[in-house]
Amino acid sequence: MDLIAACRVLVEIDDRGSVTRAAAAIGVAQSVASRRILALEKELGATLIERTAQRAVLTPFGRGVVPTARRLVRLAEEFELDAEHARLQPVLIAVPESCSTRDLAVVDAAGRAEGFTVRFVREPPARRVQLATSAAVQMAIVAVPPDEGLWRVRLGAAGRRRRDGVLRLESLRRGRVGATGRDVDPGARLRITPEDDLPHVRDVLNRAGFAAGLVPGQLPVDPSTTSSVAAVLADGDLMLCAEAEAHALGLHWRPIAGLDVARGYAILSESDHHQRLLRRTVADELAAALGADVPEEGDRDQ
Amino acid sequence: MISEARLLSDVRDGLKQSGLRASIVVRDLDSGREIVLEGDVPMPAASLAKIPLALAVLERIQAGTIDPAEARVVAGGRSASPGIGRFEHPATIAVADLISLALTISDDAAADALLELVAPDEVTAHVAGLRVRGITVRRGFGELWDTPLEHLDPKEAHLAHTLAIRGSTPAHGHPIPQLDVARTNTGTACAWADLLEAIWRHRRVRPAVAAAIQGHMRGNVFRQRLAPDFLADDTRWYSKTGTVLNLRHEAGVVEHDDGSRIAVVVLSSSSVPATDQPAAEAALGAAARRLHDAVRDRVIRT
Repeated sequence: MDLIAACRVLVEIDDRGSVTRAAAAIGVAQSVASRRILALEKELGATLIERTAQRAVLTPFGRGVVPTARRLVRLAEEFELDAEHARLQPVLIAVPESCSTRDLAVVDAAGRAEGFTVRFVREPPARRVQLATSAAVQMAIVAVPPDEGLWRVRLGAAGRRRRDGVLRLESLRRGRVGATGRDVDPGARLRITPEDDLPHVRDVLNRAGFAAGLVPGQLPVDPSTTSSVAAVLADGDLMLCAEAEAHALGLHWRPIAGLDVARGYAILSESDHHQRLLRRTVADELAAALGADVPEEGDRDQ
Repeated sequence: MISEARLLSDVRDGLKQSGLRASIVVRDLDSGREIVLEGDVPMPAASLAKIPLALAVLERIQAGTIDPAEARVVAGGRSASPGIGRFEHPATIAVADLISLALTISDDAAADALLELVAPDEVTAHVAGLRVRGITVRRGFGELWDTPLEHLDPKEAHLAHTLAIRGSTPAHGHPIPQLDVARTNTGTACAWADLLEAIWRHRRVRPAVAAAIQGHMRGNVFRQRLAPDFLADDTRWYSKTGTVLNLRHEAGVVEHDDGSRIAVVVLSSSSVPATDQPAAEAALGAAARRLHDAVRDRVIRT
C-alpha cells in the first residue's frame, strides 16, 4: 500500500467533503481514490469515512488521524523538492590550469543538456589530488603516467615565432663562445610549467636534454604558467605544452624530435556514479579541453 | 669595478645554471694574490694524483735511488683507459717514459706501474714534506675505470651518474669507492694550487724535477676543459686533468709572455646525469677565465 498516496486522498476528502471532488483534486479516478481509502482502512483496522449519497464525512477515528496524515503529505512534498534541488546541485571538478575557459564552458554546456551540472576549479597537479582526497571537490582530473590514463596529451615546444618541422633538443645547445659563465642565453631554454613538474614528464625531458648536451639552466621549472609564457614572449624561450594549449596562448607549437613525452589524465572521485555520468555525458568535450589526442574508444562504455 | 664577493657569486650562479658545483683557486704565483671559490673542500682527486706521484718518482730519480732507464713490463688489456690499458700485449717501458705517459695521456696502467716503485703512502709523505697540506694518495689508478658505469649498458649510463650524484652517505662519504673521500685519493683546490706553486717556485722541488713535470704538463693532450680559454701563441698552458663519473677537474698554470705565472685549479662535480657534457666543460673554462682575468688585471694595476 502507498501510505502517502492514501493519506493525500484522506486529507483531500477532509478538505472537500466528497470522494469525487477529492479524486478530481488529486487527478485520479474516483475508483482509485476509493480503493486507496479502503486499503488504508484495512491497514489501520478501522473505518475512516462514513459514506452517504452526497458527501463523505470523516468518522471520529478519521478525524483523529487526519492531522498526522496532513503532516505526512507536507513532508513528502518537501522531500521531493529537496531531491530535485540536490539533483541540480553542480558537481565540482578540479581540472588542470591548461584548460581554456572556452573549452570548459563547452563541457559545462554539454553537461547541462544531459542534466549533469558541473563547475570547474583550475589547480596544479598536486593540489587537484589533495582536493579530491579531502572531498573538497567531488572529482579531479589527475595527472598519471600516460599509459595508465584515460586521456593522453602529447607535448611539444611552443614559441613566439612560427617554425616549421620539429624541434631538435640539440639545436638549443650552447656554443663554447656563448658560455659566458653568467647566464644561459635567452631563447635557448625550454621552460616547464607546474603542470609538467612530474616524473613522467620532467625527468624524461631532462634525460633527453642532458643526453643532447643541454645544461640544467636550459630546462627551468616556472612557478606558474603565466611566468613561462612571459619568458617566451620576453626572451624568445620555448615552453613545454600541448598543441591546443599553445594555440589558446597565441603561440606556435611543434613536436620535439625523437621524444615521445606526454601528459596522462585519469579521473579521481569517491563516487563511481559521478565518474560514469561524466564519461557518458561530457567525455569528448573534456578530452578536447585537456587537448587529448583521441579519446580511447574501448573505455567509453565501461 | 666589481667586488670580489659579487664576482664569486656571479661565477657560482653561472656554474649552477650548468649543473655544476666547483672549487676554484686562481693564484698569481709571484705576487701571491688569489681568488678562491670554496677552496678547502676535499674532493676525490681522480687523475690529478698523478702529479704528486710523478714528483715523488722524479725526486727519487734525481736522488739516484731509481734508475730512469729501468725497463718495466706492464701488462696490457686491462681497461678502456688511454694508453697501455688498451694494449693487447705486455709492454716494456722505461720508468721515465711511464711518467711521461701518466702525465700527458693520463695512462692509468703506467701510473700503477710507478706506484710499484713508490707506494701511495710514500707519495702522501713526499707531498707533506713539501709543506703542502690536504693531498692524500691511497690507491692505484686502474680502479678509476672500474666504476658502476663500466657494468651498465651505455643506454643506462645515466643510472651510474645518478648514483654518483645522489649517492652520498649521511656521513658525507660515498658508496662508490672512487668518490668516497675517506677511501680514494683526495685533495682540495687550495692544496693543488700549493703543489703547483711548490713546483713552479722550486720550493723543496729540484729545478730539474720541476722542469720535467712542466714539460709533461705542457704536453697534456686533454684540451676540452680549460685549455680553449687559455691557449694562445703568447700564452703557455701547463695542466693535468682528472675525470671520474660526475667529477671534472683540471689543475694548471698559465704563463703569459709578460712573465706572469698564474695557477688555475678547478675541481667540479656535476648534478647532470650524463657522461658527455660539453656545456659543463665550457662553463668551467669560462668561470676559470673570468677569475683569472680578475686576478691578472689587479696584478697589472699594482
